[in-house]
Amino acid sequence: MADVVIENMSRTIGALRVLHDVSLSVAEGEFVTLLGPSGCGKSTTLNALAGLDRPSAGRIAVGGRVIYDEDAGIFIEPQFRDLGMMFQSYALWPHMTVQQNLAFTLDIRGVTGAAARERIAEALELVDMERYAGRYPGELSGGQQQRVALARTLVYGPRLMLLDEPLSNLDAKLRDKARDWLRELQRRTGVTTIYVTHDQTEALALSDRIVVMNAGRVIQIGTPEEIYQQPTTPFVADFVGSNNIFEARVLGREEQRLTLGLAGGVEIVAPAIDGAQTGHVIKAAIRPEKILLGEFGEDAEPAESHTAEALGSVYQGARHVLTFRLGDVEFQAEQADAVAAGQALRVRLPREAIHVFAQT
Amino acid sequence: MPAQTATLSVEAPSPRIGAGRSLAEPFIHHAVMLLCVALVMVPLGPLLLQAFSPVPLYAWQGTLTLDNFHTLFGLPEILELAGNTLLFCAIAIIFSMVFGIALAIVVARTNIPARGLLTSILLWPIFVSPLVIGFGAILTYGPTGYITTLVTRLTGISEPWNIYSLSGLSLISGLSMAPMTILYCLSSARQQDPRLEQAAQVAGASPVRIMRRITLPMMRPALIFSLAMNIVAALEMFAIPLLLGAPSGIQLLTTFIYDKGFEAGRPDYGLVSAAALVLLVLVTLLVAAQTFVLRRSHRFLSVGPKGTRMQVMDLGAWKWWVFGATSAYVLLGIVALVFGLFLRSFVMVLSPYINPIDVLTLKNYQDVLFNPSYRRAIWNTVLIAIGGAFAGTVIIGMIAFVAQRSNYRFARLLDLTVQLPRAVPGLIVSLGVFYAVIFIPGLSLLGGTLWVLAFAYIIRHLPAGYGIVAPAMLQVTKDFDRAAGVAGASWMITMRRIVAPILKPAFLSCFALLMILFFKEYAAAIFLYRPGNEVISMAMLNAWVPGYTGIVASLAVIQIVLTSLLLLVFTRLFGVKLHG
Repeated sequence: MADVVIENMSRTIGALRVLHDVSLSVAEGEFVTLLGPSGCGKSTTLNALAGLDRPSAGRIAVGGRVIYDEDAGIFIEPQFRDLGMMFQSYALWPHMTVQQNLAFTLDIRGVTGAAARERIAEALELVDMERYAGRYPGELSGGQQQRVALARTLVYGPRLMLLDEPLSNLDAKLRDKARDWLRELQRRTGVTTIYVTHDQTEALALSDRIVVMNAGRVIQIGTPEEIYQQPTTPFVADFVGSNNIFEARVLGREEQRLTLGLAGGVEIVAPAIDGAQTGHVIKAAIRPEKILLGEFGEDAEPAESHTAEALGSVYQGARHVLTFRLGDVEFQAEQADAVAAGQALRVRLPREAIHVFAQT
Repeated sequence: MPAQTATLSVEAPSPRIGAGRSLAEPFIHHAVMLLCVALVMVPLGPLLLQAFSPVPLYAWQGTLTLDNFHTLFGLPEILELAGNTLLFCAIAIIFSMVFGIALAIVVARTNIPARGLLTSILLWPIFVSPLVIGFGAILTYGPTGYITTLVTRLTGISEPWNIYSLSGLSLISGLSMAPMTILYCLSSARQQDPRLEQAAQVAGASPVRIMRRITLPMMRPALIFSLAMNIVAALEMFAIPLLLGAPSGIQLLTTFIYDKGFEAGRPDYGLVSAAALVLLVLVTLLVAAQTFVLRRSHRFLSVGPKGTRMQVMDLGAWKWWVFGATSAYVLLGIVALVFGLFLRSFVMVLSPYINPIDVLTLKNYQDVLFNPSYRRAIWNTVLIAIGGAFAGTVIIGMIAFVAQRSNYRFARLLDLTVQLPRAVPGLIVSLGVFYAVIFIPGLSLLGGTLWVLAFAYIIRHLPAGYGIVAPAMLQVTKDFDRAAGVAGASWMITMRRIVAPILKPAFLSCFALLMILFFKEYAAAIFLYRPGNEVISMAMLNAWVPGYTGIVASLAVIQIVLTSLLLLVFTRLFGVKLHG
């Protein structure tokens, strides 16, 4: 087990800058997810850690050992890094049985015979696949292959485990199960894990910390709660969970609250933040599930309550997602019942639920 | 998920963590590159030098000259030579293309009976040397060939045709090239999505229009490719012009090179090299043009759900006519020639005036098997086919690993270098290796041995084998290598234990292909032959000159039977597919 420190890592391919000054540290035993849309640099970062791709600048150390340092001219090749990596395609060698797949990685390390067999049995038991040791990868289902791939990654006890979208080839139902199981397994083995995904649900459910990346940069690092509840940029707010993001002008500022004017003349209230002064045009966000609908009692602050025009709703099983217009801005909210287009709605945007972003 | 308590107890020892980089790897990459460059350049370098040298290479003083080209283009027969070559190419290529394309479409896309059998017979001559086809043609359609005399007897025409003419040898050459056209067009015709044609049919197009506007244009990459390969094959064609052209004094570029370099009493090496260089440049330009034209051939990939049953065109009343015509081609163009060879090998003399049963004999085979020189030729051929193909496969495998699967800086260059011999005709490889043996110190030890033949054969067929291994390797995901690398395996262990076993079928196919190519090769051996390293092809040529027809026929039969046996073993035992 080991900690990971990445310092100012950049990667350029020709004139294209794929990674900008990525810095990150991962504690021993931590489960960190790199989250972002495709092309954001998360896989490049993972490949740099594995040694499959050489960055253009920066430094990486794993467990105190420098495995890459551009300035010092150090680049340790993948086979000497002693890491485990699980591929999106699983990359199970098709000409070897499950047993042989695992044995190969031990053989390279000089572990053979009874010692190897014991270890392989242990690893396969860990992923509940001990009965399939004699099978070839082609004879296993997707979910079983995924477990074998994980066992192969774990069998030689790597200092760090890198997982590249390991669940993306499973169907939705299986993916949920595999996610819980993976989390459980990581807790049990305690191996430091870096996980790459574009699926925010996976990231929220699995991680100790999430690193949100976009366009080659680290945008925000935080626990799942921080990322979900206190996104620092509209990008994070939009990418993690669903969100209503809108522009507004700051009309007034008191100690604790801002008065915001939406396009179309409607005024709403939001918590005050530094750097939002009267006259600024800012971006703000509110999650659909935080918007309240219906008639409100006496306690409702008048500035939070509005009448809006419903535009329609979409049934999503557990609830209806409805769209309404407030001023000239469209919002989405959730409730149990459908609404008809054109219907008048009472909506409440609680002040504390609105997240205002500092001007950039 | 059942509750589990097991955790991994101890960490396995780390893989030999040293400096963090392996030192052997770059060395091996460079060595493979060097080997490949040597294989390609050893025959070409001396040839180039000789073409610009005023004296034979062994006496070379360091001066360069264009005199050889002046001499070549100043020869009185040069115009006739160029004209002959051009006319020969035109006739042979047109024959091969027209019959090849038509037959490929017929057996791939129509509902004539016995398509499987017809396809097998049509493709079969690919595995046979053009030399054998030439001998077969002479025994069948030559002035005293059994079909010629049969026609004379039936019609009374004393000389219905003459294959010892430019048009005759061009047609026979076209006949020997047609199977290649069929092979290239067959897979293209088969891979086409029948729904494309059905769509046109629904839109109201007639079968002729569908053929002209949909089927043929969709086959365009295959057509361009086979045209280019046909031109290359025609320019390289050597055996048939030699057999049929020499008696009547008709010379093509290849036979000219052969005559000047080999048969003339005192060979003019400069002139021969200059002519060889002209041939080399022509072929290189063609190969380059073909690569350029086909660089965007993915436009012609028809996409669609796979696994639909191939639909064939219903020819209706035409079915039996087309079947008859195809059968006639198969009978007259292939079966008759092989039958002639087989029959001739078992009789003293072949003529319709004599009942073959009366002259039945095994003497031809006795002559072959009791003559140590012929026995050696057979043994050498088998040895070089199996050993050479094995060595060739190992070399091609190493080159493919470095070119396709390594982070070697010059991997792309290696990939291009290995394909260069595609533009080098067998005769030129032979000449180049011949010069190299004279010129490069140390190589003279190889002169007259089987090694030098294997060397020339491997160079000549390097691109063919690579053409099987490289695409197969591209289809294997590099995640396998990455996974092995991250798990601690070095590049060499990854290649040996992961990539090579996965590619076993491709390597077997490569081995089988090389074996068959080596079995039938003759052009690459022609300048390298000495008593002691003779092979079947050379023995046949040598027996032909003094007129030992029976021996030639039995050697041809032995070559055919051995090749078929090898083919059978590989397709049946290992499931190797050589085409499709």
